[in-house]
Amino acid sequence: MKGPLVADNSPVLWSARDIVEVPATAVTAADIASMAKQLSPRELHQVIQTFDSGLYEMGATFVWTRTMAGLKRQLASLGIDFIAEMLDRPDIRADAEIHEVLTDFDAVRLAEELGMFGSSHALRLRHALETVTHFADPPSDVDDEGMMPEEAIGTLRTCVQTILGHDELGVAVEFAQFRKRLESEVLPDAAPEIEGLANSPYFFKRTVLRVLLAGIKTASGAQLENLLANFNTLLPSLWPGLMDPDRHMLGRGYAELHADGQSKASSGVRSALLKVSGFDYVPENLRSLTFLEAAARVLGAHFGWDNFHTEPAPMRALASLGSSIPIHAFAKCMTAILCVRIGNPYGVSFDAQSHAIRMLENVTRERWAYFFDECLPADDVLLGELTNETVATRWCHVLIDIERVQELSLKKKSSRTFLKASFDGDVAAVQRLARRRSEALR
Amino acid sequence: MSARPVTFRAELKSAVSDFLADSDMTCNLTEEAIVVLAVALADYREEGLPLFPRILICDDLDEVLRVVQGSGKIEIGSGDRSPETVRLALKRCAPLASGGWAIWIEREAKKFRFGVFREPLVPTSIDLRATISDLEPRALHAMLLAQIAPGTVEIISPGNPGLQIVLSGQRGDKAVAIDEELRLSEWFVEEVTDDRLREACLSFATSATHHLLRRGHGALVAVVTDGGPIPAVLLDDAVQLAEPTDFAALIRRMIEEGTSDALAELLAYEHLLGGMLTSDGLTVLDTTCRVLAFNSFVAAETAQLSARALIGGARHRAYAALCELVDGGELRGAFIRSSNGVNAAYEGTSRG
Repeated sequence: MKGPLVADNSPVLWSARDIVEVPATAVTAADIASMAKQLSPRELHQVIQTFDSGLYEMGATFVWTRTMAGLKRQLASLGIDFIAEMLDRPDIRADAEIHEVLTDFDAVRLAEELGMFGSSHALRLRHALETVTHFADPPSDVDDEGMMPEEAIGTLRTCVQTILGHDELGVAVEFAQFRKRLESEVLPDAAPEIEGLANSPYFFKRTVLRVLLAGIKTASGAQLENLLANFNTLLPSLWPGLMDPDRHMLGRGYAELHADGQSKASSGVRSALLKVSGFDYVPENLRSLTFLEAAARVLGAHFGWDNFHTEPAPMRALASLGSSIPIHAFAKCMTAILCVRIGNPYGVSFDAQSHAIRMLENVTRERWAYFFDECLPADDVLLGELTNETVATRWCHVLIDIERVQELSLKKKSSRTFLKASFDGDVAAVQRLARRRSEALR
Repeated sequence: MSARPVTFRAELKSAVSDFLADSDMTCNLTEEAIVVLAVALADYREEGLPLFPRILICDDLDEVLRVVQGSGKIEIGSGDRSPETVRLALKRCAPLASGGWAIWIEREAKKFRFGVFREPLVPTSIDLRATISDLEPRALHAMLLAQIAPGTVEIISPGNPGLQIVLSGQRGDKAVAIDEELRLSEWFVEEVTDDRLREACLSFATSATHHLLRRGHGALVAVVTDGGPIPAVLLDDAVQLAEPTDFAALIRRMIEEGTSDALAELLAYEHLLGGMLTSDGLTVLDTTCRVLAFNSFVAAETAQLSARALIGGARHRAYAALCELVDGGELRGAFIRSSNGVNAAYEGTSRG
C-alpha cells in the first residue's frame, strides 16, 4: 500500500497496495505457488501435485477457496458492521459470520474499494471467480475438455498476486488506523484533507462517508462525537457530487438511527442532512430495508456458486414484495433484477426470468429515466458486468424488449449515448462506455 | 354596574405572537388558530372521554415527517386560514389521534390542510417531541402542541423551549414539570451498562410512558436501584414477577435481529406494562429497565404525612410513603400520575 487514506498533514489519495510480483518467467504451478505466503507447506505440496496431475478444476477451486477464506478473514478484522455499511447490506447483522453473509463477488468488490488491489487485478479475480464457478458446477453444454491449464494457472497467478502472496492484515491494520483517526480527531474546517477529498475519486468519497456512517452507527461517547463532527464537516463539501444511491444510503442511515432510538447519533446526522437540504433522501419508514435485503439475496445468489439454480427463489421473493419498489431501495433492486436478466457469460437462470421480467414491466417510464440518469452511473456492479461482451449483448436484447424504455427523455447526455448504443445493439460501445463509467468511479 | 370581565386573551395572543416570531412562523391567522387550539386542548373531550392529541403545525409536511420519521399521512380536510378550520380539524382528527397517531396541520398560502399521521412506528424510535426539541433553532418551520397536564398546554418549536399555557387556576410560577415523565424514564434506564442500548431504552421509555400513562386514571411507580431489594413494605400484597420483564433484553433483541417476531414481542410486553401501570396499586421497576412487580400496596403512616398528602386520596398517601422510602435510600425514585393527570416525581432531597 502506498499510503494511508488520509496522511497526517497533507491529503494523500488512497491507492491500491502493491501486488506481489510474480515474474513472467514463473509459468509452472510450482513456480507460482511457492510465492503464496498464506499457504502452508502441506497445502503448497497438494496444490502443486494437483496441477501437475492435470486436475485443474480441483486445484483452481482449492486455490480460490483458500484465497477467499484469506480475503474474508482480513475483511472480517475490519468489523462486520463496517462490512455491512460498505456494501450497503442492512441484512448483515452485527453477530453474523462473515463467511456466511459475504459472497465471493462482494468480497472482491469490497477489497478493490479498500485499495487492496487495483481494478485490473479485481477484473482478473472476477474472471477467476466466473471460471471456477462455471467448472465447479458445469452446465449441460460445458466444454468436454474441462478447465484448460492456462485458465487454472491464470487463476493461481491472480490469487497469489492479490491475496495469497501477502502477509495477512496489512490493509486491515492501515484501514483501522484511518478509521481510528476519524474517531479520535475532529478535522478543522480548513483541514487539507477536505480539499483533498473533494478532488478524490468517487469511490473514495463514498468510502469515507460509509466509514463515518458505520462508525456513527456503532460508536459512543467521545468517539461518536468526533465522528459526528467530522461527518458535519465533510458532508457539505461532498454532497454536491454525491450520486443518488449514496444519498439514499445516508438518508436510510438517519432513519435507522432514529428508529433505534439513538438520539445523539441521529441528532448529528440530522444536523448534517439539514445543512445540505438532504431530507428528500430520508425515507419515512424502513419499508425499503425489506426490499434491500431481498435484493442483496438475489445478488448473493447471482454471484454465488450454482447461480442458475439458486437465483429463482430469492428473485421470486423479491418479486413477491410487490411491484412498487420504494425509491430508497430502487437502485439496489434494479441492480439485482437486471443482473438476473443479463446473467453471466455462461447464460441466465431460466426459472428466475419470469419474475425479473414482471418486475421490470412494472417500472414506470419516470423511474427508468431516473435509473439511467442517476442510478446506473453509480452502479459499479452492473457496469462491471457490462464490460463483458456476452453480457453486454444480452443487455442490448433485454432493453429492446422493454416498451417503457423506448423514447425515454433523459437529462444527461452520457445517459442518452449509453441508451442509444444499447438500442443500436452496439455491444462494443456499451462495453466501452460501461468501462469508462466504471473507471470514473475509481 | 355590570361585573368586570377578566380575560387572559390579550396576554395569550401576545405570547403566541412572540413565539411565532421566534420560530420564524409569524402569521396573524396562525396566531389566532393557536389560541383556539390551546384553549381547546387544555381539557379536550369527546363524548365525555378525555383525549390527548398531539398537533404538528408546519409549512412543509413531507419534509417535517421525514425529519420526525412520521409516516402514513392521511388528509382529512382543509379550509381557509381561520379558527373555524382548526376547530374542524380538531373535531374530526382528535378521535383518531391516539395509539401512535397524531394530527398535522399544514399551512399553505391561503388555507390550512389537516389530517393525521403515524408517529414513528418502531417502539424504540425517538419521540416526536424529543426530535423537535432537539432541532437547531429555525431549522424547520414546525411546532408541536399538546396538553401536558390538565389545563396546561405546551407549544414547542425547533430549538425553542416554547410556551406553557396555563389555563387552570394554577399560579404561573408553578409551571407544570413536563420533565417528570422524562425523569421516570431516566431512572428506569440509568444502569443499563451499554451506552447505545441505554439510549435506545431511554427512547423507548420516553415514548412508552407518554402513551401508557395517558391510558388509565393515574399511576404510581417505585423505582428500585439495580441489585437493591424491593423494600419489604412493598411486597406484602404485590404480585412479584418470578422472572422480571427485562425490557433492555427485549430492545436489544429487536435492534440486533430486526425481525417482526422481536418487534411483536416488545410491543406485547409494552402493552403488558401499560396494564400493570393502570392496575390498582403501584408498579415496581428497577434501574436496568426491568419490571419487578405490580399491584403492590404500601401502607402510609398518616401521622407523618403532610396536609397535602392527607387530603390527596389513597394514591397521594402512598406516594408520600414512597417518598419516605426514597429519602431512606431504599428507592431510587417515586413517580405519581394522579387521576386528574398531574405528574410528580421524587428522587430525594440529596439529588438534583
